[in-house]
Amino acid sequence: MSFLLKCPNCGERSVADFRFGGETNSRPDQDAPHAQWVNYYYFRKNVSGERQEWWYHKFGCRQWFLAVRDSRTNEVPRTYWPGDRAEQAASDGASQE
Amino acid sequence: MADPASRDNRLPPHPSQRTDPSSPVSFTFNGKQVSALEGDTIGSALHSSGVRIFSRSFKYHRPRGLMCMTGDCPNCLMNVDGVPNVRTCTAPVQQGMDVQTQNAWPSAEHDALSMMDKLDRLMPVGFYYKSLIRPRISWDMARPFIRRVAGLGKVGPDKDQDNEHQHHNLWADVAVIGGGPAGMAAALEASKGGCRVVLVDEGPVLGGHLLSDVSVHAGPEEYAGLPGYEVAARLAGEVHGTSNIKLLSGASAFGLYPGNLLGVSKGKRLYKIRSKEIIVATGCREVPQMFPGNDLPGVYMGEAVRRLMHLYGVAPSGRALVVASDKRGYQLASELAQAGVQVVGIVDGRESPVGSDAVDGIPVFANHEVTGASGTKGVKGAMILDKSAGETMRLGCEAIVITGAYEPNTGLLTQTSTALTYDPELQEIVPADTPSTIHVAGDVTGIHDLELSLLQGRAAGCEASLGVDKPAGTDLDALRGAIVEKEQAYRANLQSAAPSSDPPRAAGKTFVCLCEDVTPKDLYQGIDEGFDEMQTLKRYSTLSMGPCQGKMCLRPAIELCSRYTGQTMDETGSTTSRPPLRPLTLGTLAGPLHMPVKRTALHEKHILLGGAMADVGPWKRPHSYGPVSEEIAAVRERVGIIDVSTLGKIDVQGVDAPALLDRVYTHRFSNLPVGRIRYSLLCSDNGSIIDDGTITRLADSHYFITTTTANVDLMEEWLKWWNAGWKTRVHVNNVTSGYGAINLAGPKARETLSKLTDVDLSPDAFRYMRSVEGDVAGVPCLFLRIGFVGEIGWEMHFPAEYSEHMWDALMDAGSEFGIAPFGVEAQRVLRLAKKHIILGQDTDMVSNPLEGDLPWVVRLDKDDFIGKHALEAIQERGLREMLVGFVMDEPVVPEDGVPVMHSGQPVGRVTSSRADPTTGRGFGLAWVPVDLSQEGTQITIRVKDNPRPARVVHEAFYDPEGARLRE
Amino acid sequence: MEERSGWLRPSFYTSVEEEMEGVKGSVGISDISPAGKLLVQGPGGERIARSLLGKDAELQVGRAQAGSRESADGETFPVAVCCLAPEELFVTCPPERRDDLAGALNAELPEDGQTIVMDVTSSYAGINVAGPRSSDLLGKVTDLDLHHDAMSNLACVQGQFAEVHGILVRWDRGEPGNNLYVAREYGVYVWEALWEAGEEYGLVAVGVEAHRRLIGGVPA
Repeated sequence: MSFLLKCPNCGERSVADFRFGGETNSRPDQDAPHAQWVNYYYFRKNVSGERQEWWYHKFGCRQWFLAVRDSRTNEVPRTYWPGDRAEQAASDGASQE
Repeated sequence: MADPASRDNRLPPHPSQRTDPSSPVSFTFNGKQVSALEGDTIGSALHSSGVRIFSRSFKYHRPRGLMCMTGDCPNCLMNVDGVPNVRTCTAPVQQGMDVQTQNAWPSAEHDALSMMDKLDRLMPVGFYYKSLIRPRISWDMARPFIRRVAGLGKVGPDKDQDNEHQHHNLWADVAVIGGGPAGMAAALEASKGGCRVVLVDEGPVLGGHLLSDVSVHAGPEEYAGLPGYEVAARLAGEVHGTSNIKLLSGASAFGLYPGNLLGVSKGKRLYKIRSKEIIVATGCREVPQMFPGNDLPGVYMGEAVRRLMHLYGVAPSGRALVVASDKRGYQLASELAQAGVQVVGIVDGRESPVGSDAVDGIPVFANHEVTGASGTKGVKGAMILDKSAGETMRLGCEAIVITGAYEPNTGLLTQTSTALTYDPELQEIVPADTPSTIHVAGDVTGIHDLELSLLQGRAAGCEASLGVDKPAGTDLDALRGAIVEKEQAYRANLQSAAPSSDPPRAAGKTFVCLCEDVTPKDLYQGIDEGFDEMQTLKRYSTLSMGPCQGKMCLRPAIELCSRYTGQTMDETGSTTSRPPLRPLTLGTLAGPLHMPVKRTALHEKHILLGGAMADVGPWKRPHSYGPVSEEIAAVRERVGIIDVSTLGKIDVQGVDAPALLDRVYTHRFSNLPVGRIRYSLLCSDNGSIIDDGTITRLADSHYFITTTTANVDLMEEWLKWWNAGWKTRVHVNNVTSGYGAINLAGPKARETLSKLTDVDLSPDAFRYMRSVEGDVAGVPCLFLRIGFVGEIGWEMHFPAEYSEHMWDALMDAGSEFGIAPFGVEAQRVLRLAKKHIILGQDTDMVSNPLEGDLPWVVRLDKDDFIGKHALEAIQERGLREMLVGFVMDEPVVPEDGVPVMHSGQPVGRVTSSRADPTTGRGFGLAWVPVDLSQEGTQITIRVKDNPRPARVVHEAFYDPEGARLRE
Repeated sequence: MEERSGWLRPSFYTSVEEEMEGVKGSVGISDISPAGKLLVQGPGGERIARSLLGKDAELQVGRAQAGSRESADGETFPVAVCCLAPEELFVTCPPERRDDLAGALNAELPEDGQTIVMDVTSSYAGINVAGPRSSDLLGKVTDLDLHHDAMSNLACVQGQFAEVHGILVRWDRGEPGNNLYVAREYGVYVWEALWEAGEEYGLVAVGVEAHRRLIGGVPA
C-alpha cells in the first residue's frame, strides 16, 4: 500500500500518513427500528468502485476528511471536508468503523 | 584451480576494460588464496583463475558455471563473508573477502549429491503434490533428508545484526531506471527544463550494455565512428556534469509501487523514491537456448563473454562455438577470434543470413541449430543439426556462446498496470500500453538499435518533463516522427530464423529453469495433467520460482508451452512479476529500528530510584521500586506518590462542548457544575465499552478529560470524528504531552500537600470528585480529588517541564510522613481491592457497561448518545453475564485469564486476580453467567488446572463504603 | 548547563567553535524545546495574526512568517507565526515571553468563544536541525519532500518523523535550518533517531551558545 491521498489541508501524502475510517453511512434516528440499527452497525455496502470514505490525517493536520476512493484501483479522485459538497448527502452522520 | 597469477591469464589492456592491472587484490575461495585485479567482480576473478564450476544445481546437483555475468541467472550464487546467495558475477571483489561455494558437499567441484541427477525418475514434476502421501509414514521418513537438502544457502545466525542498514527518502520529478544509452538520454533531456531527475543504474559506472560494446557505431551523427564504450563515456560525462540529475550507481530498482513509489536498494541502503514521472529504460537480456546439456559450464550468454573480455580482460578458454541470428553474434565471433580464441563456427538458424559480415576463417553453419552439448563437468562438444538435410554433426569445443534472442526487462513494468504483448515481428514480449506517468525507452521496447534508443530516451525524457510542466522546448512531435521512420527501417531489416524445430530429441537433460532444475519434459507432463497456462504451470512445476524469478526461464517456457498446446504466446500468458525484482535482505527492508518510545518527564527519576521499568504500550513505566507489599503498605498507612503522566489528557473547548460530550459519553455532562469531576464510559454504537476516564468541567464550555493510557489517540480521533460528522463547533486537543501528572494518595496525603500549597484541602472545602486550580511548590496545577487507589488523594496536572521539581518537592514534604513512590503493580493491586476496572484488562471488545456492573454510569434517560439504542436493547433482552468480584475460599491465587467452571464446563473467566496480603487468598474480578452472579454464590475457578472453590462478592474488598476516600 | 528563564540547557557539548564548524560543514542538532509555543484555533486566528505580523498580513497554509510583539514592559520580542491550517496557527516566541504572549493574545480573542489560545510549550519538544546536510539527514527519517522546490524557506508542514507526528518549520538563518517539534514524550527518542541517522554525516550536538551565534540573535 503506497498510494497517495490528497489531504484537503496538507496536500498529497502517502497513505501511511492516514488512518482509514471506513465507508460513510448514516446513523439511524434514535427511535428507528432495531433492524435499521443492526444494519447500520454491522453491514457495509463495500462497493467495488468509487465510494465515499472517512480518512483521518493522523500524521499531519489531525483532522477528519472525506475521500472518494476507487476500491478497485486505490485511485482517489476527490477529497474534501465534511459539508463541503452536496454530493455527500449520505454522510450527514458519522459512520462506525 | 589454476595458477594464482591471474594477470597472466588476462587479455592485453584495452580502454574498455575496467580492471586495473596495477592494483592486484586477493581473496580466499573455499579457503584458497585467489588473486584478482581492482575492478574485477568475484566471478571474473574466479573465471580468470580457472574456476569453471561455480555452483551445484538445486535439485539434481549438476555442475553449473558462469553463464550471464549480468546478475540474472542462479549459477554463480556463493556465500561471501557469511552472506549467502551473493551473485558473484556482478559483486565486486574486495581485498581479503572470504568466498565459499554453497549447495554442494564437500565442494562444488566434487559434490556427493550429484547422484541426484540419476534419480530424476523418482522426482517427477509435482513431486510434493503426489509423492510421500501414502503411507503417511513415508513423509516422516523422508522429511529429515528433504529438509537437509532443500533450501539454498545458509544464513549465519550472527550476521547482519550490525544495524548498518540505512533508509533514505527521495522525491523527484522524473526517475529514470537504467543507465544505458536510452536512460542517460532520457535523464539528460528531462533535466533540460529544470526537472529534478534521479537516475538509478545497476552498474558501478554508467553505460549499460555499451560498456562492453567495442564495435564502432555508424550513427547517430554525433557519435559516428566511436566504439560503444566511448559513446557511453561521453553520455556519462554529460550526466555527471548536470547538477539536477542525482545519480544512484550500483543501485537496483526492485519494486515499483502504487503512487509511483520506487524501491531501490544499494548495498545496505534502501531508497524510497517518489517520482511524478518514471522512465523505464531497463534494457533487455539474452534468452537461453533449449538443447540437452544447455546448462553445462561452458555454455555462456553472449553478453557474459562480452563482459568477460571487454570489462575484465578475461577470455573463455579452449575453442568456442557461437550461436547467432543477427550481426551481434557475428561481431562477437570476430571479437573472440581477435582475442585469440579459436572459433570453430557460427551456427545461424536463418536460411540465408544477409547483411551479416562473414568473419575471416570462421565457418558459418547457416540454417543449422545446436541440438545438444556433450560433456560432464563442462562442454566438450556441440551437436549441430542441418535443418535442410536433417543431418546432425558434432563439433569439438569448450564453449558455446548463445546470442541472438532477447527478452525485454519488463519486470518493473509488470508491477504496474502496463500491458505486455507478443510482437511477432520482433519475436519479443514488449510493453504495449503504459500508465500515463510511466514511459519506456531503449532495448526494453524490443528494439535494439543505438540510434533508436537515444531517440526513444529523448522522447521519454521530453514526455516526462511535459508531464511535470517543466518542458525544455524540445519538439516532441519531430522526435516521435524520427522514431517512427527509423523504426520502420529497423523492422524492415529484421530477418528472423524460422521457428526452430521441435525441441530436443538428443539424449541428456535440457533445462528450462536453471534455478529449480525444470526440464521441458516436466512442463509437458504438467500440461498433460491440465496445467496448460503459465500461472498454474508455474505453481505446479516450480518453474520461475527460484532465485532468478523467471529471468532466464520464463520466455523459453512460454514458447515451449505455446508450441506444445498450440495456443498463441499471448494466450499462454505469463507469470506476474512482483517485488523484489532483485533479491534483497530483510535487513535492508527493515532498516534502522524506529520503535517510538514514550518517556515521561520523570523517567530519569524512576531510574535513579531503582524503578524496574516496564513497557506499557509505547510508554516506559516503573513496575515497582522494591517489594510491592511495602509500596501498598505505604499508600494504605502513610502516603504514596506515583507518576501518572501517561494518562491520556484531552482538552475540549467550544460552544458545543457540553452537547458533544453528552452525545459521546454514557453519562451526562451538560449539567456537571464547573469545578466538579465525573467518571464516565464511552461506548460504540453496539453498546460495547471503548474507554473510560474522568471529565472535569473547567468552565462553561471547557472540559478536561482523562482517558486510559493506551487509548488517548483513539479517543482524540473518536471525539474529532463525531465533531466532524455532527459539525459541532468544538476544539479537541490532545494535551497528554503537555502535562506531567502525579497522584499523591494515602492518609497523610493532605498533610504532605498542605505544606506546599495555599489551596484549602480540608475535607469540607475540597470534597471528593472536585477540582481546583492552584499552585504547588510555585507550579500552577490542576488538582483533581479522585481516588483510583482507594485512599484520600489528589491527582495533580502541571506543565510537564516542572515534573522533576514537583516530584522532588513532594518527596521532601512527605519525608517526615514516610512517603514512598509506588509503581504500576502496587497501583493495580490497590485498585483491584476497590473493584475499579481497567479497560482492556477487565473488559474486552464486547463488554458493555450494564453487564460490566457499571449501570450507574449510563444515563438512559438522556437524549440520544452513542450506544444508547444498543444498551436499551441489551436491557430489554436481559443481562446474560456479569463482571463480579470473587474471593477464593483457600489461600490460592488464580492467574489472570483462567476459566470459571460450572458442571465441568468453562462458563466464565477471571480477568484480574491478586493475593490478599493478610490471608493469602486470591481475590479479583471475573465474568460469570448471570445466574451465578448473586452475592455469595459459590463458584469454581480453575487454579493450576485444579478446580478450586470461590465466592461471589459484590462490594469492594477494601473500604466498601468509601469512607477513607471521602475523609 | 546554563539557565535561562527557568530552563536548563547545555551552553556547549564539546566547544562552541567545534559545534559551529560542524553545522557549517555538515549538520548539527540543538534542543530548542524551551521556545514558547502557542496554538491559536478558530476563526479569530486571522485577527491575532495581524496583531503580530502587521495589519496587511496575509495568511497562507503551510507558510511561516516572522513578526514581533511589544511586551508590557515596553520591550519588543520576535515571534514566528506558522499557519498550519485555515483556522490553526502555531506561534513561537522566546521562552521568557511565553506567559506575556499567551496573556496578551487571550485578551485579544473575540468574545464569541469560537477561537481559543492554548499554551502548548510543554507539549512539544523542539529540535533545530541546521547545516548544508540537514535535508539529507531529515530525509532519512521522513518521507516528506524536503527539496527546496517543495520546502522553501519559511515553509511549515506536519508529517511523520521517525514514525511520530511532528511540525517542521524551515527557517534558514545563515545556514539551512529546520525547527522540528514533536510530542514532548518522544523528544529523547527522536533525538536519538536523528543521532543514529546522522552518524554518516558527522552530526554534531549544538549547545545554546553556538546555536545563538549561528542564527545571529535570540532564538524564537
